[in-house]
Amino acid sequence: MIVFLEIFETAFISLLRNKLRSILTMLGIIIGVASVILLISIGSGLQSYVTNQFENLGSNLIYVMPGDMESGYTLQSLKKRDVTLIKRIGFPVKDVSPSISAVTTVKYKGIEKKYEVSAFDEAGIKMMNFKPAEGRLLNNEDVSKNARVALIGPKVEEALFGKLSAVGKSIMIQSSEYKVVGVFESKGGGSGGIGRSVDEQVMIPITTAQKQFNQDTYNAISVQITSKDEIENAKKKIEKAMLKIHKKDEFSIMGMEDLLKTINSILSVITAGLGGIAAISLLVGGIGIMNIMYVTVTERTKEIGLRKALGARPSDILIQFLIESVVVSVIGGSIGIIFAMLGSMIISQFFTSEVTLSSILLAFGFSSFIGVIFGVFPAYKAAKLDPITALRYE
Amino acid sequence: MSSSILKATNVSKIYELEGVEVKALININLDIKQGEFVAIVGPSGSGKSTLMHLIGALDTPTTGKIIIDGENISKANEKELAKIRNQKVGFVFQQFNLLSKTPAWQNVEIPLIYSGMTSRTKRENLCKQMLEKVGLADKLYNHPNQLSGGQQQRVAIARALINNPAIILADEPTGALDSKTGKEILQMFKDLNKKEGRTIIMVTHDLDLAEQAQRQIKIKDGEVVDHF
Repeated sequence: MIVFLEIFETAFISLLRNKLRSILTMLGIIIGVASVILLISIGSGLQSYVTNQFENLGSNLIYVMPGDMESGYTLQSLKKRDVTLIKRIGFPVKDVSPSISAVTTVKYKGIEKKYEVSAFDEAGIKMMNFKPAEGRLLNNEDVSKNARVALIGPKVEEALFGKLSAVGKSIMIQSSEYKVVGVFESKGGGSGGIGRSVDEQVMIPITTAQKQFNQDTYNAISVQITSKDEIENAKKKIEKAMLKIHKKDEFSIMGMEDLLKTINSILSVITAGLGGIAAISLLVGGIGIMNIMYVTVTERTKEIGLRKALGARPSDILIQFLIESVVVSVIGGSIGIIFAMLGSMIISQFFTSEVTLSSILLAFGFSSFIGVIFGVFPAYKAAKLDPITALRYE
Repeated sequence: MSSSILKATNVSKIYELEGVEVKALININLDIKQGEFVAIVGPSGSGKSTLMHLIGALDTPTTGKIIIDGENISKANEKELAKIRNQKVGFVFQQFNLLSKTPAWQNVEIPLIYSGMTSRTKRENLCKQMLEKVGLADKLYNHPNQLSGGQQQRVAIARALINNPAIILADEPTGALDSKTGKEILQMFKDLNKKEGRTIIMVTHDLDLAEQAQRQIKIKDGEVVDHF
């Protein structure tokens, strides 16, 4: 019969007696747990950011792209007749809009920047749920008149015009002058390394763009579907229609969902990788515990001998030392979680970060597990000590 | 005649030391009765420490049989030996062996914890009574380093008595004390023997000290002898 409470007390007292040592040992676990949680939270923050961005763009969209996406074989195959063809499918296709995009220079007065210039018709702008923050969006009149007008993102306005309003002013795209008719509402999302934000785009009418970039083909055709559930059905119908005038490798059809899935699976691997690297530091922390527990067992050899002489069974000694290492790792793990949460709050000011319950449980479970695994060897050594030799130890 | 509390029959202990057999004890036969005060005496290297370890259930004999208060230790495993040490034997060491950073009463408490007594109040009360009995009623909460050698040995005696063991096993109990304090501690053992009828086995190399016991068992070269 083991009196657990007393053994816990003994473990705590012994940890308190060597405060500095206990804190330093805990530090290894604290850093390990905090970094596992933080890195995983950055990874999952990134994932939810990407998902969010996609949903902002409308998730019931399908893109028809020129060439074969899988082999990377591209060609200029999408033309006006394709748009007409897809429009003719009817249900579940709700709307069809071609687009062109190119990264090119945009100038206002002395400031010159490179932006993604995308071209749509009115339907395309509507599909992506753009709303005007200032002025107006692009409309069918602009398209039919080949008007040199531009709708710009809030970040473009900020970069080129500072605090002034861009509406009514003229900007230069390549060497042509365009009048800014509107600024769309922010779609959110950060800048800083990860991809280009939608807010950093310049939009012009599709017909104007064809002239500007001197091409009669499109970079993509966006197809809006009546509902998310019809996406697979729509894909099949579009493919069937396209195959009438194209070979199989002249076009690809991609749903937002597919794209999102691919990106998310890449991000999951990255998250797991980051967590794995952080777990190494947790492992090192565990080795720190083992090391210090061996020292403790050696230092207290005589005490162990005495306890055995007074009737402690090997299991009593084992538990006493095991509890010591588990207490170190559990307290260290808890402090690590607190640090990770604080760290995540700071990081989320600049970058996306999301502390997930699963990452906390994972790190906490792992640190307790490490406490047991790395504590068990020194504790076993203590339990197996011969009482006669241990009593003689000086 | 009172009953036998420790009976050793044809006990031998053989160690292997770097491939060489060392016969520490050869064919020992002992019979110690309830209420005896026995001194096991012998020069260093005689095998008396080995014998003490066997009597204290810290070790098992290579051959032969040892029975302590009805428990056969010869075939006991680690767990059973621990229980015998806890219940049947009260150790008193030359160097007291107290936990230096633990108050006196909690030193006395250790055997009670390992015997599985769960009530803390009950344990604390028993320890206090025991310390009062050895004359340390005012030192309950003192740490060993605040106590004199004699007081520390009294704490150790209280610890040895706390589980009411069949045998008090004292290893050179006065060896670390000055002669005056040593006499006091010896008197305490005599009183425990006479007044309470406790069985006391004292291991020593000091012939004068051994004279104080009722009976002497002389050990030389691993064997019991009549005289040195």
